[in-house]
Amino acid sequence: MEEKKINVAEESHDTEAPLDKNVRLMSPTRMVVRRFFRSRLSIVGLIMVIGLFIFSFAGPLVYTAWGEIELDESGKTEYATAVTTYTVDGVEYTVRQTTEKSLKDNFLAPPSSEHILGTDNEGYDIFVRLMYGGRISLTVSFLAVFLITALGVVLGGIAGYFGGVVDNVIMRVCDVLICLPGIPILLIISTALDAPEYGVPAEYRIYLLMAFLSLISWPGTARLVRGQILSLREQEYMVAAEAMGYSASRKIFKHLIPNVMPQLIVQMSLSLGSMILYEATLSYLNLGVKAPYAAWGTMINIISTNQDILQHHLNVWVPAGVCIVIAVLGFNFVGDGLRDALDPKSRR
Amino acid sequence: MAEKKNKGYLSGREIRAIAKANAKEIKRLEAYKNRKADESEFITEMKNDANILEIDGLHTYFFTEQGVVKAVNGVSYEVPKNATVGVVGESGCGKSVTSMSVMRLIQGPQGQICEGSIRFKFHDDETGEDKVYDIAKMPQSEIYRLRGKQISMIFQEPMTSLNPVFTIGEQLDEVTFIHTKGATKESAKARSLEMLELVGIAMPERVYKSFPHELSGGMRQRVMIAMSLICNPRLIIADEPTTALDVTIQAQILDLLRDLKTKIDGSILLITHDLGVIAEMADYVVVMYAGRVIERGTADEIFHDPRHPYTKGLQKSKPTLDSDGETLFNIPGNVPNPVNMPNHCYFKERCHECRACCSGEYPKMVQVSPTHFVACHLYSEEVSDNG
Amino acid sequence: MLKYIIKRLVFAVLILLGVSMIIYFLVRLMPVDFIQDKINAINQGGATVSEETVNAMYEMYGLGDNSFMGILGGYFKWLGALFTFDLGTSFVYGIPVAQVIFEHMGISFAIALIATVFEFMIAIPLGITAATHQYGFRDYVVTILVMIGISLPSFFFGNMLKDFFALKLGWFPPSGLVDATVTNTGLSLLWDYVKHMFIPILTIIILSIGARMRMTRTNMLEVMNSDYIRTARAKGLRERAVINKHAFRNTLIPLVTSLAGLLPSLFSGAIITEQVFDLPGIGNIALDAMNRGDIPFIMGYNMFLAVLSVLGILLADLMYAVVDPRVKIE
Repeated sequence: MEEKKINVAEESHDTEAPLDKNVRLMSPTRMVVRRFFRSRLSIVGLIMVIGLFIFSFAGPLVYTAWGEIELDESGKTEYATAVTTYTVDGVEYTVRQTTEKSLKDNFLAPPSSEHILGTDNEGYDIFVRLMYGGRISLTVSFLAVFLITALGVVLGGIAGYFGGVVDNVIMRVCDVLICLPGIPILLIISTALDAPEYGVPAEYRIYLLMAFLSLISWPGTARLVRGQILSLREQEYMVAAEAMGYSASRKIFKHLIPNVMPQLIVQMSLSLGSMILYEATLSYLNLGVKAPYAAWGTMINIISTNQDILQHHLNVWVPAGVCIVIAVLGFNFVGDGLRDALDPKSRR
Repeated sequence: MAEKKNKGYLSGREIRAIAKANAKEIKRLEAYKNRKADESEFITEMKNDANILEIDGLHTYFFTEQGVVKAVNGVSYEVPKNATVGVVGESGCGKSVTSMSVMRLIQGPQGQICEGSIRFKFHDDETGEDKVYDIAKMPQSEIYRLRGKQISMIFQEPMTSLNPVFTIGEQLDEVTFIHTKGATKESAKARSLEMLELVGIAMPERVYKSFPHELSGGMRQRVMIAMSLICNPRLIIADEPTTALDVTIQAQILDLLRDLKTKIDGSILLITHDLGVIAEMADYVVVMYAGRVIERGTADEIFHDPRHPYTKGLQKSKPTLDSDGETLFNIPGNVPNPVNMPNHCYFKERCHECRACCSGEYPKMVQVSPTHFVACHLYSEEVSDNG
Repeated sequence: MLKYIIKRLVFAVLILLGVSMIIYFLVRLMPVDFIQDKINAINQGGATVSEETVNAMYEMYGLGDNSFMGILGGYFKWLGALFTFDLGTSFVYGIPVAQVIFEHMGISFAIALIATVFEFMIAIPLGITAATHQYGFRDYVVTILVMIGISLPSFFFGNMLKDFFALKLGWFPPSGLVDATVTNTGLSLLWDYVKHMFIPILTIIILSIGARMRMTRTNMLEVMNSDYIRTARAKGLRERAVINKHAFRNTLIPLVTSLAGLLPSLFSGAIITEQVFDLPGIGNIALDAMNRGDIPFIMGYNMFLAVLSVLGILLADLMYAVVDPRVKIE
């Protein structure tokens, strides 16, 4: 049946069947999948995200030439030329004195077969650090998004479902949290985390900061869930569920949650992008992941103190920036594609 | 086979084929719509000079991902001068799409007029002559000359059909400004107030200054009617003008429309699913079913001598006062899905007078009286038997 | 109207109370010894934090007393000071925090204002074009621009522009607000400002324009599908008039409202951009203060931002009532 007719209009009809049985529609899942993949941007986004995941998590297992905090100690010779001018009897003499300095670490090495993207100002391999930076970025963002979603769904769900005083209290808390400035508040937290009394190890700072960020970022999700539940409660089928005496849990899990899911998924994939940006910004400001550990933001931070690298060693900071852009762009493309695919109104 | 496994659902291959075919067709039709054309390309002649609008073999399709929906599939009817034509049919039968096609308001790019002609006779103010245009062939850039001036429309949803950020006055005056050369603020306002008064609004000055949200649904529909009257159009299309209103207001709006019929010099094309409204208002009735006209004639013929089983069923399903306690008649079954229609009578499965020949080709229009036409095999036999 | 405003104001004050509570307890997270260490570090760094200033801060925040009543008392004391616009004295600058904020606000405000004006001027027409040509080529281009704007990290993009325009091409100075080597006056000083602020403003515009375009596009699409647009077409209005008059006016409602919501960002300073280009705006100052442990300043800055966002929300509500005739004010 290779030559199966695909022109639907010409398809033969089962004349005995009722008219509407002759109509073949698209299955809902297929419709969503198809709408998603119809947009070229969603496909690009998906490839970007999957590519980054493989790069960050499988990369270090495959490419084992260097470790995250393994210095290239193969040494480096640096030449410094001093120019001195003497004037003897009106005649000018210029003396160039070149000193050869042998250094322990091979820092700022240009890209080569040994270091695919060269080394940074300390002598760490940039390519490998990109992978480890990706690990931390992706892990932290996913955790933050899950925390935000969990808090948002639970609190928004409670507010929407129970209403009344509970709703009022939760929504006022939302109002307050929305007025908190994001990065500046994290500046305070970060300062507090520095206190030796708390003894927070450098590796965990970023987790704590992002956890705090999640604690103040859930109102968006909560409002979404609450709004959805409020509008769903007005729907006839919920009234019917009420009339049939369904239990609260059945109503929530069988009817409400599946209806909120599409928007929630979209919201999650979009906030993944913004969480990656937050993580990178924190690391860039030297608040999050601190040296010697790698993060994309930290790798760009190098240039804020060293303009020579900014201008002449693009291989040190540009790849990290490109990684951030790919990650954020990828999640945004996927989120946008999902939004269009799941929205029953957006028909083309 | 995969095809068998998810019977009832389209396969990925078919979906891609549909999308490709749609894209091609839409591109062609859009290009046709946006072309530059000389008047000679769409000027035409009426079949019958007494008509103001002749719809002839109109096909309006929607190109969806699931296939081509033939919302209007070869519809022909006419609107005589100074007459009211009622178009009746259940929801989704294409009656609104037909009227939207006349206004060329079909939501593109999915919705397209694919075939047929819509001949409209209008009065050209510049030359003072009557001209006939084929609306279906007019380029998009020309259609503005007809909309609002020669043909105007009253929509179903008065609550949302007025722009919320402009006052009623601004929206009414706009029509005058668009179509009347040399209109001044004063003349536009005078005309708007006159029309508001005509549609029975008690305090036109106050309504003129208010925003749509300050008016009730019935008032807004009156405003919409006033708006449609401003340019003395030849044809007013009322697309379910009373459906969204509550019953008492419905009666008022109907009274108003009936009253207007005598006051204006034009025809009304009334679209509704309510037979009662048709009975009160219409001179001619067109019955539509699943994108086709199945019967048309004068109101008298349709109500007292219905031929098509569907028309008969419609009338039986109408509640009357003397139907003491019996259950209302309902036509069994559903309207077929408009994607992928078969080539036999669409009403076949629901018809209790169905015969063997009904499985054949779609029935042709049969003339049963000078004004009465029906598309049903029951009568095509009759005719062929007699002749 | 007055009643509505008063109601909103009371509401705003309540939100501010909540925000201040959170910020206060955050500062109480810091152990006293740690604060002392920070002060010592500042002293070693050359500045002198007078004993008086430190005591005043301890006094103001009620530090040292960690009992419940102590914290509560401390909070109310601090709150009382806030009401008299007393945010304490900056450790680093040795002058009241409010004064530091006030002095550096101007430059941040100038940058943000110029950027916002350009942002709206570019984003609105582009967003509308994208919506009216949905799924067309222009829509595609705008979508990609939107995405790039949303996805670029400011510190990366800022540095790229700086590297390219200032360091490689040398068209603009890489950092700072004025050329320190020359004393400019009058017009030449203005020109110097323009040169220094060009890339920062460009950075901010490109980064923020995406969200605004997307917002315009979404609104416009929604409006274009509404019944009153169909009515406008049925009247015989040409498509351009339908878009420019009927659709545009409705699209403006949320855009104008969002303008009010921008209030905080006008004054708060773009922390990252100011840091990248080393501009003496309030954001950069705050970052510096944080790095040097200027606790009174960070606290004051956060409170300042919170007040701005509450005001922004309040203003947005009022704007909404002004722009949209449907919103009735009770």
